[in-house]
Amino acid sequence: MNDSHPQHILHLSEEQQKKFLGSFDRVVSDIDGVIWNMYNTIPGAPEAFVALEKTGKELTFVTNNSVRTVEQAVRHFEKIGMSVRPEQITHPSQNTVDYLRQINFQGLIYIIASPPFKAVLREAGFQLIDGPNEIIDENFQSLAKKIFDQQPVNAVIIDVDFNMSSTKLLRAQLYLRNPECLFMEGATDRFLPIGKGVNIIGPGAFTNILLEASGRKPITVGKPGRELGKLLVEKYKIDQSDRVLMVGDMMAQDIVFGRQCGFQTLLVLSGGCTLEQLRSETDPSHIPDYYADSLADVAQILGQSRKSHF
Amino acid sequence: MSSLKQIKELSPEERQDFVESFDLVFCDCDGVVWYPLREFIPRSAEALTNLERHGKKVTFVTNNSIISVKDHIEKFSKQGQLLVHEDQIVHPAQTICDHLKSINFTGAIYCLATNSFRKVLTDAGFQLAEEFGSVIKTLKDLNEAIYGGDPAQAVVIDVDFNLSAAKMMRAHVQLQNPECLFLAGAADALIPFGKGEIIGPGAFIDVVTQAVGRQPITLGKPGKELRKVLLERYPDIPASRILFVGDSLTSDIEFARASGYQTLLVLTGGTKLEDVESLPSGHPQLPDYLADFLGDLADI
Repeated sequence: MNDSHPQHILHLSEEQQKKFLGSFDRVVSDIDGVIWNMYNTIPGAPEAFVALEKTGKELTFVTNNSVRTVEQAVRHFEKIGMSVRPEQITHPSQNTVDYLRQINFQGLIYIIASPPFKAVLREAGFQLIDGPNEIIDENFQSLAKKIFDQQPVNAVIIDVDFNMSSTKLLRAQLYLRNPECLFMEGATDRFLPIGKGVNIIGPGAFTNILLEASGRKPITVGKPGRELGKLLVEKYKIDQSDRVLMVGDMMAQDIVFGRQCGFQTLLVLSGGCTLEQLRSETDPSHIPDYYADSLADVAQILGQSRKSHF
Repeated sequence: MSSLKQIKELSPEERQDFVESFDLVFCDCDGVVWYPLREFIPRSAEALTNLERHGKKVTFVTNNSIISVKDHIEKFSKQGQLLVHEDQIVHPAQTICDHLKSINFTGAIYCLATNSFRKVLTDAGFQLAEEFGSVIKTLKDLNEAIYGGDPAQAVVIDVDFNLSAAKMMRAHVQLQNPECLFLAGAADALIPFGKGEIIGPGAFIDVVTQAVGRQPITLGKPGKELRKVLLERYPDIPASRILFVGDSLTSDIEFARASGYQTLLVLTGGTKLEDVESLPSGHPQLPDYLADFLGDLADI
């Protein structure tokens, strides 16, 4: 490991590669941008995970994407040749439920999120209000009717919502004036990579509006949230954090999260981060221990090490 | 607090000095002349009449493009019996329209604003880019909303009651073209509303600004390009002989002080007395004068 300059795993000596492969028992991996992106599977990624599993590594997938349900993810894994159980996958909506249960939350939730995210909370028995989703009249009277609704909201939860609007954020901010009202966020991404080099504004940018207007910090159950780290350590009974390898494509989410948890970190350049961005990053909390073009490189060194062994 | 002068506590001599210290008044409207959504604040019409009687020019500098200039004028005449001319009203739709004219802009404008704002642009002959306003159910819908339609040559953001993430994402995509102009109107981070403040248009402009990595030309308060427009509007009047009246410490007082105007804060809008009193001396948001309401100028 080198603290100042991350090493490309293919540039490690054979000896170092072997040491690297033996240095972790569990892989905690992101999904989007690592295994697949919006349009296709990342070549070599499924093979890398199958090979990692064969060498006895435990696999856990931590995604910030609640738009896709766990069932859909499991089916998709199957389609690309990976057998993944639902309990191996954690995402913000499930983490939100876990957190709310942990604190024994009672009451009404105002939620800005996708339909699948809301479904997970409703199924867990939580009571939600949301919206408005309709076009509103262009004056402050009609705005006031939509945002000052006087409902006894005890939590504001925000994640990805394709129909995010200024009205929803204004409404959320009013609930947050009550200091007793819980403030939680799922995905934190400032940008969502939807293809190589193509980014759209992500949910973190909108949560930030609430953060600045309310002067409050949310509880973050998506990466890189501290609460997520605690949930994960508990759920998977992780006792040796340095024997975990965090794999992801986003420095601000995956690498920061991994480092905060005390995991080793591997950045793959198959998603939302380019080599130039990695090279120009100066914040040590964002810089991984290792990097690779994609997981195909992991598959390659695993193949080599097998060959050299057998 | 020592340097803050209350208008109603000025001695007759100080009043005289004050009145003689300015030739022009820039005056905010919402929270100063009238309550937002409601009627004239008592005695503000008398104050404005009194200023004119003293030979002061008054220009209204508002961030409100939701009400058209025509409706502003009508409100002045109906509720205040005041005759206000079109050129006495400065608001973002107009300043943005003037700016586009001044650079001979041609092309499509992607305009995130109210219909009243958009009408100012179309009445001036500008062409607006297509809208994709429907509810987004799938990634395909989102893709269409962000990438569909023709490219725009300018993006304009002001108050938009139906501002959506998809619109901001589309603006972000358009602005990745470095040739695409980026213009902003009202840019308040928060706006006073009811008993507190609600998130203002500035917060949404910031999202796009941060995503794109370049600053808009901001022609609403507290934009620096609007400051330039105002300074050029009356080149013969020195800034020190202009009094700016407003209710917001950021959008009015700090904005005006940056131009070297004298400033008067009224407490009928978003700012409470405690807010001003808690400011340390020398703070850029400290006004020169304080009044409970604009009506305090009726007796000077």
